[in-house]
Amino acid sequence: MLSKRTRREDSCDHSESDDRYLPPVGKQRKIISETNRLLHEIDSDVFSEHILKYLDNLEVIRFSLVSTRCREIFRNYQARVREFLFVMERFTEGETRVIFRECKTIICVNCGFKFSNMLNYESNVVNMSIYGEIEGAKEELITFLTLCKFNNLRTLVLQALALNYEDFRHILDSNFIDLLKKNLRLLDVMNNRTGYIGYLFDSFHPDFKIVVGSFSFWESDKNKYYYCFNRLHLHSYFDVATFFYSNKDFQDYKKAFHFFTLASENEPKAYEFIGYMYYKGRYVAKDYKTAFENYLKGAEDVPNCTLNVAMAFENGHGVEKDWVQAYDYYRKAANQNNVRAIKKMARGYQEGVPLVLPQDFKTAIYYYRILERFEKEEAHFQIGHIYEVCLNNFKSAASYFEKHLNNSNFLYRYTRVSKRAKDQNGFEKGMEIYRKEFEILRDSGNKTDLVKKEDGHNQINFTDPMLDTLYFIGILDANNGLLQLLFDNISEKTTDIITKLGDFYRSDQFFANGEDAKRFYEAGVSRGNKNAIFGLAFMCISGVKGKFKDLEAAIKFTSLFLQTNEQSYLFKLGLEYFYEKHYTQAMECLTKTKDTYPEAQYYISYIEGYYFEKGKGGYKQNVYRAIDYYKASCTPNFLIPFGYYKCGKLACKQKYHDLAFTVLKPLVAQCQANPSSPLYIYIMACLYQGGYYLDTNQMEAIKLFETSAKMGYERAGKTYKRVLEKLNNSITSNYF
Amino acid sequence: MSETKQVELTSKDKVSFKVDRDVILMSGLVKDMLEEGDEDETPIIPIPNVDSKPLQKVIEYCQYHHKEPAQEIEKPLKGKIEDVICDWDKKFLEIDQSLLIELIMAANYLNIKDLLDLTCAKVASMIKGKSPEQIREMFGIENDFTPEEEAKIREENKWCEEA
Repeated sequence: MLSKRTRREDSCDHSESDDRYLPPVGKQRKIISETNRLLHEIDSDVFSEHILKYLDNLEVIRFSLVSTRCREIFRNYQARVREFLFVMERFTEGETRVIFRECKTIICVNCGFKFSNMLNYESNVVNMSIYGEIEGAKEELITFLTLCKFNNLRTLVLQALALNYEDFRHILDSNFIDLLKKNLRLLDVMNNRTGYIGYLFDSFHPDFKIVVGSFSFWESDKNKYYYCFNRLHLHSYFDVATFFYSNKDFQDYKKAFHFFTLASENEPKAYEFIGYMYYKGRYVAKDYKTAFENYLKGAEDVPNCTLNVAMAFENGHGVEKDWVQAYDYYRKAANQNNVRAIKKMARGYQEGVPLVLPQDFKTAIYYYRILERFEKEEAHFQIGHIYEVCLNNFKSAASYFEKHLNNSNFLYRYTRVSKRAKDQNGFEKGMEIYRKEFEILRDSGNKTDLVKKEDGHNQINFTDPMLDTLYFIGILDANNGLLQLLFDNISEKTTDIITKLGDFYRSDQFFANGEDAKRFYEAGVSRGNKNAIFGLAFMCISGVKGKFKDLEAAIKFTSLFLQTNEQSYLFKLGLEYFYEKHYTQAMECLTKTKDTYPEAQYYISYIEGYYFEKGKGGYKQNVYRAIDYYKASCTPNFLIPFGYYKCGKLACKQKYHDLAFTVLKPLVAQCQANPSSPLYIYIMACLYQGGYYLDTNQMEAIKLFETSAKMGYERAGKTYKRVLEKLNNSITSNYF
Repeated sequence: MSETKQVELTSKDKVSFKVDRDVILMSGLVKDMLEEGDEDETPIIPIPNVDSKPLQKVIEYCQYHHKEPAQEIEKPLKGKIEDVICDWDKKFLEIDQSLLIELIMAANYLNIKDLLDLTCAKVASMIKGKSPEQIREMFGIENDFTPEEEAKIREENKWCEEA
């Protein structure tokens, strides 16, 4: 709306003003010059409403100092503008006086000026907010507040001013206490060092409320806190609640719960605490359902609530388990920048979540890129890992691992991926860092690190970091000259490292090397290390990359453990014999350990099932008993998936449809839940091939055999070859 | 049909201006008056508060902006007004101070919001960044504070020189 179009000759009524510096209207006024028309012909309303709005506050104040007419216009402007942002740093003391006299709403930010110059001042400010540290001016502020007369003050905000309990008492008991009691409706004392809440507000206006906060600073006089609880403003409930929830000296879950409940009206964060109190059973009875309901209420605004809703859906806490919903909420929480949710989504896409998220490395990387903002190293490591292991993109992987070479994990992965990529420069760069690190460690040791060997030579007394470094050098380069130090130094620690290197070269997915494994193991065995003997036995059973299998040697090494009846070694060897189908040796080892390892019985049942099925191991062929034993080998956690398969297969053949259904249905579900497992892909292929539970589908079977074989599953490779040969023979014989 | 309809405006100094009805409808005052009258006639509307010179400028503004609505001017102004208005408006504002003041009053009287905003922003732009003394000088404003006030003001004005 435009202002009135009639011009007022002189609209300013000074009789209502408290301006002590201005003369009465008309007195001593000079004649208006021709060029002064701007001020005198343009309506004061037009000026204040339409011209001053294009100026910032500082410029408006400057304008008010031009003439008495300008001051009138300014006063008109003040009446229109509700809030005047007053950054004290930008004004002198004199100007401050004008503002305090003229303005209705004042916001003082980082006010470092001398408040003492404002004493005995009358102010018509209605809403005054003073924020920020007043370095060196605290006393002046207190004096100012106690001596300045605030006629109409309704809101007083004194935030982050380092005022303590005594300061507030001093201010409130000062000259203007009567005016305060009459007028004040809101006192905000957030973020001060005060036990102020101890003040009695009973005689204040009935609508008076107080905003408090930062309870951790409060004085440790418990009794002081209770006086003004009935005066608390809505915004204070949450702070009071968290105080009683988390302050060890004043912890009171009952009060915390009460205030969180009140706070929840305008502070959604309260739902997170209420939910958690129900989840943990703090003050209230443990109740997952109510916990979930509260998390759900806060989920729109509070990332932790959204995360907790997701977790409730995932674990079925207080709501029916529903992974689709769970990941919907993880996604929402990730969008709210919840770090745990971002990681969950990234991991979910990295590994795939059956029936919910597909395995999708690009999306996984997308989430890790978001994570980069919060946990840079973790994000870079995971992206590097995906590029190396999942996408075989060694160059990109190296570029991520290279970002934090001062972190040993990154250094290792960088050097390793460079080696895989046959990037000699990258590999040498990594190895050089390792060698230097070792030299620094060696040189930083004092002379006492050198101990005399029996033959009189000095040898290094390795520290743990030195051994770690040598271990990494060893796994990256088995023939590195530095490793000779390990072989020359006979101690328990060095023997452990040598054996670990044997383990690495036996089992690493990419760098397995039987010769190196054997070399390290034999060095360990020569020093009487049991793990080295076990490693060698293990290697002789299952080989390394299809080589180095030697059952005779394996039996010889196993006999050492059989003699000493070492349960953990025997159990592991038993399992390895089992997987390699050396059932006689497996039975021997597992039978010896079934008291210590009850799960051994499942494997034994499977072997017996196999013996009954095939009529081997001194058992008379009996398919029914075979089925029974195979069934006995089925564990809910799919310890032996082949137990399910064999039981189902034989049941199908015997037309025990119910039994077949019972065992093959969960097996198929398990296969579908593990789409990246070569073992389960192989089993699916077998099911398609035989038409067990699934419809026979030879092409699908062949495809799956091939997939599993390509993923490195040896058994699938053999089957694939056999099936293809069979297929070729069949085509050839049919053709001719 | 309605495009050809005209309105006759008579200024304070009795000069008549014929102007397309659609053009002058930018004025809230004229619009209100036309709604009250008979649409078939060519109405004569007296504008007793505005001289012919500013009224001509007002018509010029309406003729251009009734088809090209003015863009809103930022509040508060961050720089010069010339940086935020179109070339036509820049040229339009190349007038003396006296006419500018009359235009503000005319725009206010005729209730033409965009013109009022433009002219007021121009004045604000002239005030912007100046000390009280510079403002006085520019607009020929006398410092009419009393000697006592003067002393106080001088003290209060220190910041202006510092800023």
